[in-house]
Amino acid sequence: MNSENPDKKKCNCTEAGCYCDKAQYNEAKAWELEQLFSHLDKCPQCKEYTERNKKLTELCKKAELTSLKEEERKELKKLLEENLGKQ
Amino acid sequence: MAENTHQINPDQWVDEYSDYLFNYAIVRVNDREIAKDLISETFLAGLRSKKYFKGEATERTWLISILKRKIIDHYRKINSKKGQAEVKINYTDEDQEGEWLEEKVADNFEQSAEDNLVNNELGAAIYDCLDKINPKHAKIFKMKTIDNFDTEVICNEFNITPSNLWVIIHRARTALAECMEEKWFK
Repeated sequence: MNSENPDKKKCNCTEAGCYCDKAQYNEAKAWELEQLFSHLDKCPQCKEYTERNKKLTELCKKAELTSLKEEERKELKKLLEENLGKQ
Repeated sequence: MAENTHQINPDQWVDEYSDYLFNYAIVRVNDREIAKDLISETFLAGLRSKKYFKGEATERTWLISILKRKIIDHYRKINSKKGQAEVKINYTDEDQEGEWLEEKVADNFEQSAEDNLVNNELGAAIYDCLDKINPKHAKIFKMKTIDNFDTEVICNEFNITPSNLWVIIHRARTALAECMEEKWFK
């Protein structure tokens, strides 16, 4: 999926999707973004995917999602285990 | 009351519902430690009353209803403490008092309450969609997007290559975007 080839001038739809995903996490390299943008000029499907993908990123940020840390999860499991036996 | 015969799985509660409950609580109490305590109390109360679970709602909805009561209890406790507390405000002169009042009166309570509600519904919609996708993809998506783990850390944890990770992220994002289109934008 990831060609890892900065000398290549074009990318296909699968690679464009991957670069677009990486861009959502600020992990796309400059050459990946370059290939993605030039691909988007010619590919309406990938352009649509990019729009949806950007929207999803915005929603996730807006929701301010958070989760428990692994240790906190373990503590909760331990608490449940200890008390499950008492029921 | 008759004991129930409906399936309930406390062993799975942490893996299945803790993040959902935690997000629900944190939006309402705005404090990580308090939210964590409320989840513990909810699980313990769930264990104590599991024999009364009728199976009319899902396990998650049932746990949320317990959590809601815990949140209300939490605010009741705070309010009764506040009632007894002495209010101390420091003014240096009368002019500042006016400034202080304007600052306090013009707070954004309504706006932030509304924002919190929207954010909470949005969070619930995202978690609902995450429940519908491949559990491994959902877990990797959560680690990458919510917990902001480095690609390398996730790859080590799941013993996958970065290319594999991006394929999984792509599948998760495609499924989630589709689900959110249905759940949130329609």
